[in-house]
Amino acid sequence: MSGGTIGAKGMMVAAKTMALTTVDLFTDPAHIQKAKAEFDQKRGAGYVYKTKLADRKPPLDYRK
Amino acid sequence: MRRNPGITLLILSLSVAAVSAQSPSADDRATLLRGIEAKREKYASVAKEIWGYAEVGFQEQKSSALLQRELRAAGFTVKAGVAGMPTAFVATFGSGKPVIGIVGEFDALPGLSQEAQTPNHHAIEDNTPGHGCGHNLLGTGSLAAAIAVKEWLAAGHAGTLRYFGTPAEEGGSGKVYMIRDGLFKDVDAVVAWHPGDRNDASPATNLAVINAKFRFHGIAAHAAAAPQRGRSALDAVEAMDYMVNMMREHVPQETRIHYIITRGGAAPNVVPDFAESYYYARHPDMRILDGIWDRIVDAAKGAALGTGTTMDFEIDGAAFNVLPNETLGKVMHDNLERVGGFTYTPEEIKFAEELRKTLTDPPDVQIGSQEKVQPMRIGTVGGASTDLADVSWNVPTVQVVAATFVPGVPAHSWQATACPVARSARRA
Repeated sequence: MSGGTIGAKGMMVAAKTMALTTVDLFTDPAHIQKAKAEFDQKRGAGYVYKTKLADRKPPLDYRK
Repeated sequence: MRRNPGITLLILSLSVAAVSAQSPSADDRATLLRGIEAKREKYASVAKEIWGYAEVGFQEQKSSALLQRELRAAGFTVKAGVAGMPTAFVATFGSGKPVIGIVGEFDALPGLSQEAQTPNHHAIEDNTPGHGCGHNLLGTGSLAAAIAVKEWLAAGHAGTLRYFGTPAEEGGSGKVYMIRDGLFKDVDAVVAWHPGDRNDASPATNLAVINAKFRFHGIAAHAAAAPQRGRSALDAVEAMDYMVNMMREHVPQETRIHYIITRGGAAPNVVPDFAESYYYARHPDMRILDGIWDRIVDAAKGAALGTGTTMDFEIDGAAFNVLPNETLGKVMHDNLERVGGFTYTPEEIKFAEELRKTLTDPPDVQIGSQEKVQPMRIGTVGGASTDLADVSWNVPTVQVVAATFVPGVPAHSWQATACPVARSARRA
């Protein structure tokens, strides 16, 4: 059987879509400028990211 | 009115020049797609290999090493073991601005072992992990994208590309520690994907989540001869669960709270001096979830007080709701339209039909939908959670979903584990 199974086919769609998108972002600075403006507006002025995990180490054994 | 043909031509050529400076040429796009297509077999085999390893969060040594090896071979510089996590890595190619990140995940889920391409439930080995969320494909698809973009950069374009190898997405919040260590600080945009049962680039949000283990400490005693001398830690677990279950009526509708009891004592004739429960709580807005979470912690404190035990808890995962970016979503959607869906072979249709018979209450998505691209919708809320959401509050982030599962198959199911790879390599 070739690699042409369902999962691999879907994976190829994702890989191609992401590659095209990434190259678009490298090519046209306006995309990132606009994306950043939207990002700033949605987060709100003075937004500071704070996580509940701020003080802990990665739980390396959580699945052991 | 007569037009001056010379002026028309000038305007035309100016607008063509303006467009070509702002978007990749048709040739460049074709080269990218061809480059990925040419390595289809190669990437399918990498995905198969990671599927076979089926390593759970933070234990993904082989999976992480394989992806690192491929990236190094392609010319990336790899920094491994970042942010205090042995299986986390960052691979970089190129220099200067902008800096664009592609995210890869590769952890499996406990208990979801399943024979590949087998439409009935049959674990390779009972109670062992399986790739029921398609992260073997996730890491590999991102690898394929990164290598194609690297080829494009190497052909004379400016900018920095980073592949973020992010471990323990399933409840371990690997990305949060990478953010905390500043690894996303100089990144301008992040491009990601997730396996699913449709092709969809809608900029959706989802549920913020907090996970914690609540540990109760009591006093052991003979459960029949001297129960009055004991204080049951299991009682405390049950009291907490009871209070939280009553609380469900008084939290916002969209809230999700689920738990398991991970330790409940050693024997019925010994009053348990230790018991532990493991909670997840979710809501589409982290600010609201924070308040709900405080009430859950209060229930745990109350349970300890009322049962004469002591309690401590450990938050071992927390992820925001995704901050969707419509600007980037539109770029991704246009490209998904360019790529399009795919058809099943008659064999695959047969497999898909068999597999769908095992589903409980499948959603209204049919075989054949993988050939299409879903229209871009704004404002949808997915039911899962991901640490990619934390990235999205730090860097504008975009994600696409591709139909790697049979339409109707939910993530975190044995049916999802069954989809991703060819039968011939089920023990790869």
